[in-house]
Amino acid sequence: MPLTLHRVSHRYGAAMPWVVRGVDLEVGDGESVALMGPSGSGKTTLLSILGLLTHPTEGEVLLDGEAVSKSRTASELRTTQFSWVFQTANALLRRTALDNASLQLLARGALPEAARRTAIMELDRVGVGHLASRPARLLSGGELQRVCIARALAAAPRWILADEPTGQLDRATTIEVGKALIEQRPIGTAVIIATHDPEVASRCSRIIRLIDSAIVIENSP
Amino acid sequence: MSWRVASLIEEGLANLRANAFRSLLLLGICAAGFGGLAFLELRQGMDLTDFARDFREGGAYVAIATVPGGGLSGPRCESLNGQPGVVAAGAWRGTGQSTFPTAPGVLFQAAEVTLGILRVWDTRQALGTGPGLVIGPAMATELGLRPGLIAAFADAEPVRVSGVGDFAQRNPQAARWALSPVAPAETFDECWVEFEPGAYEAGRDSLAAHFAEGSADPAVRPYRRSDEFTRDPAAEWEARPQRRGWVAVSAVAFGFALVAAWFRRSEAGLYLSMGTRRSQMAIMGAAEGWPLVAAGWSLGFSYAIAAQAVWGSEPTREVALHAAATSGSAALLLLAVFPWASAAVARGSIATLLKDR
Ligand SMILES: Nc1ncnc2c1ncn2[C@@H]1O[C@H](COP(=O)(O)OP(=O)(O)O)[C@@H](O)[C@H]1O
Ligand SMILES: [Mg+2]
Repeated sequence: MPLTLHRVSHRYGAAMPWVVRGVDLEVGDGESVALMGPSGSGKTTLLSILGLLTHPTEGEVLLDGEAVSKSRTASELRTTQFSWVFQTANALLRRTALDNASLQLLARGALPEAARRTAIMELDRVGVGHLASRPARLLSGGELQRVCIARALAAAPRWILADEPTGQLDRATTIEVGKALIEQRPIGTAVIIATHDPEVASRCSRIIRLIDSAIVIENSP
Repeated sequence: MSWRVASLIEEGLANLRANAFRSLLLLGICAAGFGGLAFLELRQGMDLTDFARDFREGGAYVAIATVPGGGLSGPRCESLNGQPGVVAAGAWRGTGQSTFPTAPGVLFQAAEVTLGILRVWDTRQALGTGPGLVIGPAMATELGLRPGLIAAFADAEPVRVSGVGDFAQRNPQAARWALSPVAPAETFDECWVEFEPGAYEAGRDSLAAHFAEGSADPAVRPYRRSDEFTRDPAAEWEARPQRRGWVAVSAVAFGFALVAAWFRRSEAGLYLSMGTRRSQMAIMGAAEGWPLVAAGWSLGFSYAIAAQAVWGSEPTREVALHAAATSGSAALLLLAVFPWASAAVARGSIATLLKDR
């Protein structure tokens, strides 16, 4: 399987408790996976291990069958294969929605024209194409989060990691953002979402429940 | 694949435009800092230039050689002209007192002078060098004489007046003197020498030796005595406090840049979380900061020049260049550090963005 955790455990220091314990997990290309669990159950930690940001205390992360070490290649893989969506929409508030959506592509060396064209398509895809020229600070929370999703999708990453992307949104907006992130994502892009929201989770093909730092249930809805 | 340099520059410029208020604020701070520094330099530079001129015209660099009882060598005095560091040198000797038929009872001092002394006594340097009488200004008004008229002393040949001297600064007694230019032959009472400012002290100190040959016991005195309260314009200029002010000005401006960057640290974190390197952040920062620094300097410097011209004396080229160099150094230093402001305060790699709530 493309992205694999093998007996991964993690703690933030030798004297600290284990926050991830003995997790085995495989995520294939194009999959959609929801990570559910109470606050403090290790969702964020697990995401950052999957996104190669945190090197686990024990166990291995394998990408396409090869173990990923703490090296420079990890940081390169991180910027070329992974995109992130955070709980609080993180954007350049004085720039337009389009400028924000183009950012990740530009950061990967795309030509400005090409970046804009792709970004417009992604804004359309997540339903905020008509807001392209509006400054980000004038957008509502759900609109802005969708701009951030467009920014992540535009780079056509292999993996999108989202940490409670609807945590601060109301019901109606949560549904829109969930759709944008899961159903409207490009084919071939896998999405892994940490969420409390059963509605968002139900849109994913797999749901993984964490309790006490370990996977307890894995099911398809 | 990572950012193209052209995209980084465009991104920086776009942020410059998008944050118009912040950009104008930084522009104003740069203009005020650089302009203030330039204005200090201009003002003090021009004050000292004006003072140095008055100081020189007041005879600060004039020394007088005498020999008790007269008998100072005229040729040796005249030979100082043209030597390095000497502006002019000339000698005079008194020839007694005269009266005029038209002003009975009023005494005038008659003297014979070499031409060089007219250039020491009259700072305008405008007296003719030809034959004829040069008279002091008081004498000219009392007798109604002016250049071109013929003056007839009581018991001497009538002689043409060739000039009226302005001796107020260098030899005010000569206001009522009548001076006849003569060849520097034989001996005189005094030899007056004006030096260049930088050559004054050494020149004055070697003057006695210069006259020792051919004159007995020459004495040398400065025209103006100096004491510890005497200002020295050159030393004051060297010691001016704003000379090192350029470091402080750019440090303060950079402080403001840091504060501005701090308010936008989450944006910097966003760039970092997309895999932007700090060196790339610096390129972006340069595109955003350099136009502000350059425009701020031009604006501030132009205002400083205009303000000095309006409220003080028109700056000379030399002083303007000094002010440009000092404020320009501040601008260059700020150009060097400004691009690193946002990278310096950026927090928010992806890990911190995840932890940050
Ligand atoms: N950087 C850290 N240092 C120490 N403890 C941490 C750190 N990050 C998270 N933790 C702890 O690890 C546990 C799991 O945290 P987290 O992965 O954020 O859970 P979740 O995202 O499910 O709320 C929590 O008890 C949390 O306090
Ligand atoms: Mg969390």
